[in-house]
Amino acid sequence: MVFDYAVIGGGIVGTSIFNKIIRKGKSCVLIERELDLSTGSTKANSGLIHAGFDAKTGSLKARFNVRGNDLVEDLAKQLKIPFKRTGAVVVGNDIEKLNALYERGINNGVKDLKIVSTEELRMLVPNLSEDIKYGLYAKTAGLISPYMFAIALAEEGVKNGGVVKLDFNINKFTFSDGIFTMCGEDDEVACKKVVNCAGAGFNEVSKLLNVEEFPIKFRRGEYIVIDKSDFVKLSVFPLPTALGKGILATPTIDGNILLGPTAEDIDDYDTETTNNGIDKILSYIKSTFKNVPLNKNIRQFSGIRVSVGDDFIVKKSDKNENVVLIAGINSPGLTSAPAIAEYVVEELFCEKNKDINLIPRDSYFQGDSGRIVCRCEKIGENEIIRALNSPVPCYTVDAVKRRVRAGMGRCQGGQCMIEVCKLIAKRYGLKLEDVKKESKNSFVMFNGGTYEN
Amino acid sequence: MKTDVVVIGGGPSGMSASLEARKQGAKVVLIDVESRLGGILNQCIHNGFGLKHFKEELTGPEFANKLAEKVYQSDITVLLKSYVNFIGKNIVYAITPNGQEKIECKAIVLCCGARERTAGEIYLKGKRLAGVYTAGTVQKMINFYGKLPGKNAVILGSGDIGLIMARRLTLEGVKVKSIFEIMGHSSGLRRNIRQCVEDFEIPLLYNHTITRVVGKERVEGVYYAEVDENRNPKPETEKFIECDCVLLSVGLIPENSLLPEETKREKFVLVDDERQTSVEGIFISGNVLHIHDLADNATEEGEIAGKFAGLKALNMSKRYEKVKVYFSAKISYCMPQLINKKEDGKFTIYLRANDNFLKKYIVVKCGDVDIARKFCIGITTGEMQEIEVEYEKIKGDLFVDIGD
Amino acid sequence: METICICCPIGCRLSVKKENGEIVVTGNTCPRGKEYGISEFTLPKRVLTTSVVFNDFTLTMKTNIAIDKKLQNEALKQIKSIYKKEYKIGDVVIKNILDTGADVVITGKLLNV
Repeated sequence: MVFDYAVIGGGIVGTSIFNKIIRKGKSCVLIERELDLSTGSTKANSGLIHAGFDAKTGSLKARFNVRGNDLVEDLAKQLKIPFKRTGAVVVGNDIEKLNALYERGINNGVKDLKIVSTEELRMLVPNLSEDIKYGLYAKTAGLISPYMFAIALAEEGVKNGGVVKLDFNINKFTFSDGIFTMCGEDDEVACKKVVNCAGAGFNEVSKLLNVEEFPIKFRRGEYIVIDKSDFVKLSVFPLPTALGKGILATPTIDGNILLGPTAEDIDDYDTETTNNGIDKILSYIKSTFKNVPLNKNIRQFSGIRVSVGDDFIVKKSDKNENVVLIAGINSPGLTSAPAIAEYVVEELFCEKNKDINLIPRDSYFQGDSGRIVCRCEKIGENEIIRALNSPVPCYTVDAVKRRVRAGMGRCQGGQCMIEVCKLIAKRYGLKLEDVKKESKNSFVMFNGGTYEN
Repeated sequence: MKTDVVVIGGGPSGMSASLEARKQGAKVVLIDVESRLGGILNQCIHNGFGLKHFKEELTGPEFANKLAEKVYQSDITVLLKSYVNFIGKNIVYAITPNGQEKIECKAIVLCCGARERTAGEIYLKGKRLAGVYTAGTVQKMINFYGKLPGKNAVILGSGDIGLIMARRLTLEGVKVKSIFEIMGHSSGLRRNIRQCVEDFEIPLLYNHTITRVVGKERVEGVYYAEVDENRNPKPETEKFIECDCVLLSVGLIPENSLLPEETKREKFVLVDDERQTSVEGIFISGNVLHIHDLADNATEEGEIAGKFAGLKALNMSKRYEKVKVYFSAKISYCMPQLINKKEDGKFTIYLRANDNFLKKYIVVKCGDVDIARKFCIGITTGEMQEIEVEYEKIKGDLFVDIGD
Repeated sequence: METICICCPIGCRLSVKKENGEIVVTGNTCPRGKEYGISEFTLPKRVLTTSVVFNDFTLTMKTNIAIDKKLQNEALKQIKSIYKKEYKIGDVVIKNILDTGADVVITGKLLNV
């Protein structure tokens, strides 16, 4: 068949557009080269739904952020994933800068913004250092699981006729008679229109499509994850700098605490955590907060933000009007994604008809967990099996982890990883040694050679 | 469901607690999340267990089986594949294969063991790759499933599980290229250094740690370096070693999250000599209370907790005035920290030293009087020490020290 | 020869030497330590433990007495090639393995569900 649309890149932007196209009643295929969706920037960011005061007024970032913030709440409800408006506060002593940020927020159309007094600030953030006096409080900011958001959008899309192709590495594009044909290693897909939102892989796709390429830069952000705690109950930012929003302390939607990110320009896509990065986070956090529960530190990770100049690029290609280019989606990309999808589908592709009603996706959590597999996060066998049987194939350890949180807790999978491998192997008819952690060659274990009789 | 005593955790401590509570006459329900009793002993297939408790040398599964047989011969109710998600005073909630179960009881013994410290907790730098596992995970991988974590391993930390796994990997054909220990000495037993490391000529580098894990999808190698006296790596000593898996043996952490926060003080749960916590009717024993070197010790502690939980449930326990146990800076902790001033009999104080000592005494003082003394040829940070004290000698708070 | 006794968790530091044709062990605190010291001096022996994995169950086993340390690998090879059969704990799988006088005995059975 020839799909109406193909979306290339299974991050939050790709899955949002995929979902939106399905809502317009059109056929769509989502292409992802990795073994799961949301394995790039989408899996490794702060998980914040920003209010929208930070982006420069008039920029695409400002526009999509504010609109996206509006759209997320209903979307999350529909997708049966948790979302909470916990609020955010920028803290500092430079009241002029805070006022300027407030002004910008008002100009961007952000609602419920407020400069708070020292007293109010203490109430909002009891663990803030005494030296810090003022804050800009944004009530509309919220928390979501970025990967679960993307996965749920895709699952709903698939449940309503969309197609997701994982592990699809495009080798070749041909374009004739208004039809694109993409060739993977052992698969072909044909479509009429293409969205390139391949994130770090944007230029590779553009080259194959023979459309514009952009100078993409990588910026690495390291994070520390703390086990469940009420250390902060809302996202606490420092005053922003040229490098970004700075190191924040925020709860996650699942109750953990996230400290970070750092901002380091790097040449290659490299997700290492480093001494410098972790030290930077620790020294900043220790100087800004008290009672930091670092004894409950459970993990560090780093995520890559791509950038092309200061703003997002969301536009039709000048070389081929059937191609939409989306590049440089860094913060507030997660918040903006639903708004970018709306703009791309309704404005750029002119799909103006009303959204159709979709069959809802099923939650993995239906109150019957069964035998508990992940003890730290209390995740049961039934929940894992539901994730394994969900509409988007889920066959790596990390894919299971993103969906149900098995292995996300304080023992970091020490107790349940092999059990999860067993369930994956059983579901997909694999041997234990065929199960992968995340990517194609990330085998968890090997056969013992002479071992098996 | 209603019972007298609920024991949570079916490892050595939980099984012995159940048996001992039953012996007092209490009705007992024993709950475990796994599909069999024995806990982590089932994966510890090596020998060296049981000399103290059973007076014979056993492997982990044999040790577990000896206790499990007794449990099954008794009328203790065993709930397997059941996960306790909440405990309160006289109440336990568990998710069983038949759904949520509420168990009313008169005493609870918590015996849910420990978990391994992870890469994240020690801020292991580098990428999050396949091939970085805790030693216990690999033990399960090999002993239960016959799978290997790689072909060339390095081990970070020289705790007993790490040492045991060094031998196990070697015998299974995995090359153990090196063991790195950040401290100047191992926290493992001396005999394990001998029979697991030296027997196979595995390099064990003290004062060294891994500085970075590198690779694309799986581990392809690690950078390691010598550390200074503050345990910070010296950059000029950093070297690379090729390997495809990293095992972590960097400590065990009591899995006591079920306990109310009020029972904990700093790192430890406060208990008395009966192993009762500050919440009346909640007892605790085994690795969930403090990390034992030997399953035998965890078993014996289970017997103490089980006995008094049983008596408590049957309203047969007596109330005594309590004294506190203080200790010197040479000691990192003592267990228990509170003692009931009973009239007769003996109890044991377990302790770990902060440093290594040669030919010293462990002394328990009450005021200026030594009420117990024990000579030790060698005391190391890795080995738990114990000293017996007679109840009748207690006049007030106790002070434990290492001296001449 | 200086060595560490592996008979129990204490791990006594043993000193073993030959005096007038007789092997003398010092540093031991029990008779087992002496026996171990002599054996370590003449022919070091170890108890070998391992597990064998079948599709539906795993057997753990040990040699009932210590065997020549150098024969561990060869013994393992032989153990790994046993056929699948119903065993109970305590059953002998291989009698007198490699003529060491040691029997390989089942220590545990785990169902792989």
